[in-house]
Amino acid sequence: MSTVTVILSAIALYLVAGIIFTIIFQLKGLSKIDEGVHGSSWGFRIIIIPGCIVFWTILLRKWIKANKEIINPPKEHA
Amino acid sequence: MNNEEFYIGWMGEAPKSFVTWIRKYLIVLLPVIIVLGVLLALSQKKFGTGTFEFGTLTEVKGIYFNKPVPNIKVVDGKNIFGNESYITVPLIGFGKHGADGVIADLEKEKNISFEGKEITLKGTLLYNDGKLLMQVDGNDKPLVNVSGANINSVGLQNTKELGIIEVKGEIVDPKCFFGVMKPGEGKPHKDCAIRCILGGIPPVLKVTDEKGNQNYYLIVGANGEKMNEAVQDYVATPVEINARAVAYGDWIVLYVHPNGLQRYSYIQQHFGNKTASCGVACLK
Amino acid sequence: MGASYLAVGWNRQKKIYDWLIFGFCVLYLATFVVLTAIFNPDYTFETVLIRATSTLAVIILHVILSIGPLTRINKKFLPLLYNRRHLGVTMFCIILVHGSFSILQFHSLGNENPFVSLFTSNTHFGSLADFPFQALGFFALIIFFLMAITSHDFWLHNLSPKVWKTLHMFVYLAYFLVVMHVMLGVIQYETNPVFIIIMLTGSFTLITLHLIAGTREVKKDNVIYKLKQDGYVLVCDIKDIQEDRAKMFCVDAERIAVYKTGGKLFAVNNVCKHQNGPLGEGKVIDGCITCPWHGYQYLPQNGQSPPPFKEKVSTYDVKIEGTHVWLNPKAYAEGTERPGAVISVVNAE
Ligand code: HEM
Ligand code: FES
Repeated sequence: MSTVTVILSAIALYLVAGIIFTIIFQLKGLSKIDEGVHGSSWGFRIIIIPGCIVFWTILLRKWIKANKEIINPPKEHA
Repeated sequence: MNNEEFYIGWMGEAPKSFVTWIRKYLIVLLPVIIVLGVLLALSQKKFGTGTFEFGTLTEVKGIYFNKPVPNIKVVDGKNIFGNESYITVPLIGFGKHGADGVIADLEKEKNISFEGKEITLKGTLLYNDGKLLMQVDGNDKPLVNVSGANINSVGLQNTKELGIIEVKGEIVDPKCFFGVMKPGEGKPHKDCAIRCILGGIPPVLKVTDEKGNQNYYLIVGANGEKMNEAVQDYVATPVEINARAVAYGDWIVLYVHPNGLQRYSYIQQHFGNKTASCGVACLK
Repeated sequence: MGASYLAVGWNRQKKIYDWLIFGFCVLYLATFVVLTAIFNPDYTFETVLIRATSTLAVIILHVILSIGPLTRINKKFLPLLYNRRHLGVTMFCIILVHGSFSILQFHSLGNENPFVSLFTSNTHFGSLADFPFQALGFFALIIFFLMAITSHDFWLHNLSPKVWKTLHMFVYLAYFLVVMHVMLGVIQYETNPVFIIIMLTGSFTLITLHLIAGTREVKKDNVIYKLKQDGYVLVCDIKDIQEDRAKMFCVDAERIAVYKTGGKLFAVNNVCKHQNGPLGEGKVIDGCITCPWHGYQYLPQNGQSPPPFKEKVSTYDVKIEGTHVWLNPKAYAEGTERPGAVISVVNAE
């Protein structure tokens, strides 16, 4: 039954990408998408690791959006 | 509710009335948890007495045969005629694997066939209900000794035709059933039994008679070929087997006829035809 | 929220809560393991572990799922709600032991990857008697996993509250999967009816609690306010609301909390931005409406959380005529400042 193998491999691949993303994200992106992260504890950073690995696509989108806002800040922010 | 009594989780202490209430809840919950633990623990079916001598290696000397399943015949004293009597010890591999791979590797290493030769193997024993099996694992360096000469094995093969029989039972994987797992049968264990059998562990039919005694049969195809893959859909569920039975020393081997393996449903057998015909009649 | 994140915001209550969870778990596991060892001496370590953890997790799952309706029925249960996520994460950790050991025991060391084996060993998806019940457990475990890893408030904000809440509603699907996992699994093997009786009693209790709590809510929501003028409806008398407290009214399908504080009445949306807690059952503390569930706070006059927090709820107009309270169900944008209605001495008498 190769379908199962294919699906499971795809999931594994997605999660490996998530692990790579999480390493970079924890170093650079995390503090950009949520200001609550400033001054947060180590425990917090560890506790969100599994979530970052699974939901990395959503975080990536937020990160890209946050970067754009730094370049062209939306009007209301001023 | 009293205006003063308001509960917020981030406060250090909850108001009195909340504390008393939660205390009451916990006092009810405590015996409930204990009673559930007692009930659940005590209502489990009794586990089988099978033993897997995990971590203990035993050397066993016997004569190796590849058919009907890899096994060694071990001298077990003398019978009433003064001839040596033997017990058959089916061999299985490590984990959920049959022994064929390990034996083939060893034969290649020694560059001889073990068939019909006296051989001493080191492995882990597992046994229950009068049946003994041995796990041979390549990592345990299982081959202690193999004699060069062929033993005259004609007498040993001691087969006896028992005729065509029809039996109802459950297909189990003997490794889990006779030792490794509790329970090593039935629905909870079904997936594992399938995985073991697909991995090469020879399928065994377990038949329970009216008195509750159990008999065990090795099952192979009509011409002695392996049925491991053919039985996948029939493991750990009631089945009916139509086969030629051959006593092979202390094990009975079933040579299953083509189409001789069928699922068996008690309900269908006893009520099915009636319900079906009734249903058809109703439709008309 | 806008404050810095901590892994767990420990306080005395949380510590007591967690010690209690720990104590109950140890007590149950010890009872189960010791009794099995004494009365069923041919056990194997793996089976006892698999069974002790699975049954404990299912018990905890029932406790978790009953907390919601219990707090709706009686507010005194609120302290259980306030750290429900700890209970959830505990349950996940326990059932992870069950799932991992089951996969190890039943699928590893074979001729197939254990996870592939989980789906390809038994393929009788069309049969009840032979159904591959382990797959059901697997999907339930995935749901519990997703819930556990997103239990920190960081995820509530960054997945958006809507996605987060939807994800956490899947607990009901997971519960159904677990029930089927047990019914199509071990119950088909065990002969003692105790198992099926316990499982059905558990499900029946949960369904009943949800129905009782649900009908109460529906009753509150279905009150019809007949007297109307200029878009306002007559909801109650000033006396009906206690100082620093509120009453909840459901008008035109809007749930609105009317608060009395500092000689004024204010109306805000009843639904807390955190996890939909009922603000109308909260209290004004330090000048802020405080949610009874986890203590999120909002200013009564504009529905905004005090800085550095950023949550906002809608506000509404209220007015007082004589001793009657009139409410306009038309919502202002979230965080809009409203003057409220002044209670004069004459009204109050
Ligand atoms: C990967 C996921 C899972 C697998 C592979 C799995 C596998 C199994 C197996 C093989 C059994 C039968 C064990 C026996 O011989 O007694 C079992 C039973 C059971 N499972 Fe699971 N399960 C999984 C997830 C879950 C989850 C998420 C729950 C509930 C929260 C759960 C609750 C139970 C219960 C209550 C039993 C019956 C008691 C017992 O026999 O342990 N399982 N499961
Ligand atoms: S729902 Fe959590 S604080 Fe309101």
